[in-house]
Amino acid sequence: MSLPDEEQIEKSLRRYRATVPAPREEWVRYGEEMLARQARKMKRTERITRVMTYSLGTSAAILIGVWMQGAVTEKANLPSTADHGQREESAYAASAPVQVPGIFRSPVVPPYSTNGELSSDGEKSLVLPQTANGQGTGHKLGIEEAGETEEAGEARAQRERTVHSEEQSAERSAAVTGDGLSAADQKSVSTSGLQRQAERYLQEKLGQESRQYRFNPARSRLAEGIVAFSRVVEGIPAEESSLVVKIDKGSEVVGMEIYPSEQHSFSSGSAQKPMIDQAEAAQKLATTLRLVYAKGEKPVLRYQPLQISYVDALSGKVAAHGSQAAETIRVQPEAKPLRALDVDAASGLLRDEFGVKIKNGSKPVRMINGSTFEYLWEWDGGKSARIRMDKKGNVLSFTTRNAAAKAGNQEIGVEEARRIAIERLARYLPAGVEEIEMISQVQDGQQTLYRFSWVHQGIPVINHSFDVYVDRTSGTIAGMAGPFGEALPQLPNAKDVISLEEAMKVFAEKVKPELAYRTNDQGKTDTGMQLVYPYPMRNEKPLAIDAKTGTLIQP
Amino acid sequence: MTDDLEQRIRTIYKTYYEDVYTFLYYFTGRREDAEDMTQEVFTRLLKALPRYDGRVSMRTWLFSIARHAAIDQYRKQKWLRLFSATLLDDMRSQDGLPEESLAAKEEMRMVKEALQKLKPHYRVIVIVRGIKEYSIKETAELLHISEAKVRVDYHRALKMLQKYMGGEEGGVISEFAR
Repeated sequence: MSLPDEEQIEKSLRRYRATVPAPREEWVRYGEEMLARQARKMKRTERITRVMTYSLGTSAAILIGVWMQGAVTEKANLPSTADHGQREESAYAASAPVQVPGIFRSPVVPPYSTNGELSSDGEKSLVLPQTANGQGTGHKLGIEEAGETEEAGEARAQRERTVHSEEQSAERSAAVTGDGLSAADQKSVSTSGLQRQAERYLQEKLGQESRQYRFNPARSRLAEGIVAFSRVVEGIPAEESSLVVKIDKGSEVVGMEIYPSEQHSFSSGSAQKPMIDQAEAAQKLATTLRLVYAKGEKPVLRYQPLQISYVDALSGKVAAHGSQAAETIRVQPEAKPLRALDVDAASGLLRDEFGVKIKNGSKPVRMINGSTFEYLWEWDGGKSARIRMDKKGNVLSFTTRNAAAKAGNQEIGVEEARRIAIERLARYLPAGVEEIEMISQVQDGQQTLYRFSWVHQGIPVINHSFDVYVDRTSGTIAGMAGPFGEALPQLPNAKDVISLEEAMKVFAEKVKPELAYRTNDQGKTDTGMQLVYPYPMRNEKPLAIDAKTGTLIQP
Repeated sequence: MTDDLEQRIRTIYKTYYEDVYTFLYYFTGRREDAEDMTQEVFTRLLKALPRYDGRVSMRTWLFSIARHAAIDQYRKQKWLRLFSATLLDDMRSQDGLPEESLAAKEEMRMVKEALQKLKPHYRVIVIVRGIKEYSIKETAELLHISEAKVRVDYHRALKMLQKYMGGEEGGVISEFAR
């Protein structure tokens, strides 16, 4: 009897989605009350700690004051043979202990802020220590009801706005200095600290086995506390992370996660010998460089690949993740706004612009993250629509899912789907975007994702890309994402830049790619590992060459 | 610690309870376990809430805690036999004729059992990608892995499910698939 095919399994999984029994009402209510009690208890404990700390600090100050006064009085009562100068000196000496660090400094923090404002319950608010990027540790939540402050919301909005601004926000947070160290110094201190902490944690948890793992700077996201490690076989690590240690902002390890997928593929004795060396690999990877605008607070020109690539260490062939097409497409943007500030406007926009018919009576879940918010509708056990906006109501993304397509439905071709994607995208592109380039095309179930980058005067603007999902069974737009409501940035002049040849030369001289095993994800085969030289990355961002100065940029 | 901690945890609980519960139900296959673990997840969240710094969205953070709670539970209980006669008890009946309902129920039983046989990482990826139907990009963001890894691991997980669902029981799923 034949095995069920993958499509059938996926259909079964979708049907399985509707089988979840509702949780027991009383259990849900009980859970909420229990949490509320725990929250109150935490608050009480915190208050007691604060009061005790304050009391201890005050007592210490009073005792020292009394002692100091006693000393001064004693000196003042000395026989009149002591002159005025001596008395002053004695008083100064006696007052010195008051200034000793550690008595009035942390942890004896008085329960009031420097501006002396009272908090809502009549107590003065505690000034929380500031971290390197200027964020207090007592952040409020990204939930509307939590009453997030404008400033906190704005700060987080910068971090969370979209995936398109990820690099920008990371750079911004790293650039903020707090105590005299340069941004680069702080970054390096904190990141190496995270790495060491994660290594210690691994050693503690895995013992000798931890030696099988090596820190993977390419797959880590240190700004987010994610430290990735790759399994090493006969000296060569996996390209992907094999396990991840997560550390929160309070420097506590949140958890460790091991990905088992490579384990069966790796075995000792299966190591391969590379046929090309590092220098040759660097030269081949250099051929993937392109002049790009990197959008940030201050847009810059760089040489870097549009798609992350690798060199097969056996054949020397350069390949890129995903497909790549360098054709520039001219568009006529209509700049039609995509905006919704409430649930009715959001559902209306999905219906009128994209033909999404949300079932009547289907109630959305509203989620708020920083200053972005989203609505999610789910109905008929498999259909869903999700739309996300910034605080001004500009749509950042939307996705829709239909239940499994009916058997026999004819899919439109890839070219037709691409044409639809471009045509519909142009309707919402901001004025000024006259050219785009398709940078990837990924099949995702019955939908195809087309990712387009804005091209300015022939140069792609990375981090300013637009995603369009086309449902190939219906030929409709199933999703979009991008900075639709964002003003186009001012881009620098591209005249005084080094040539591509010069950039390639710098890259080949300075970059030493390292061998790694990567999982073969081509097609549907499961053929194990491939020995490659991946394009060097850090924190999931590629190394680049500054197009003005020719220096290497380590992200 | 802010004064509205109680209000905050109530709001989060109401907003995300169902999301966390359904994920844990798919993971454990049992309502009681899912309920207990959901409570555990929110308790862990409450303890860490004063340190929440907004670097990740609340949903991502909660999901991360839920995933760790699920994997911890898996480690504690992996020696236990996960499949029991009670598996079908809490499954909603399907609409339709009795024969169809029975067939559908049998199909769901097989999905559930096969899912429970997957290693935690694969199970999580099937839940997020296959059941909850997050896109590859969303799944990658949620699980902190690359899109390529999502594709590879999901493909591998489906192959395992294929084996579990079609192997011992002899491809019953094919008969029910429409």
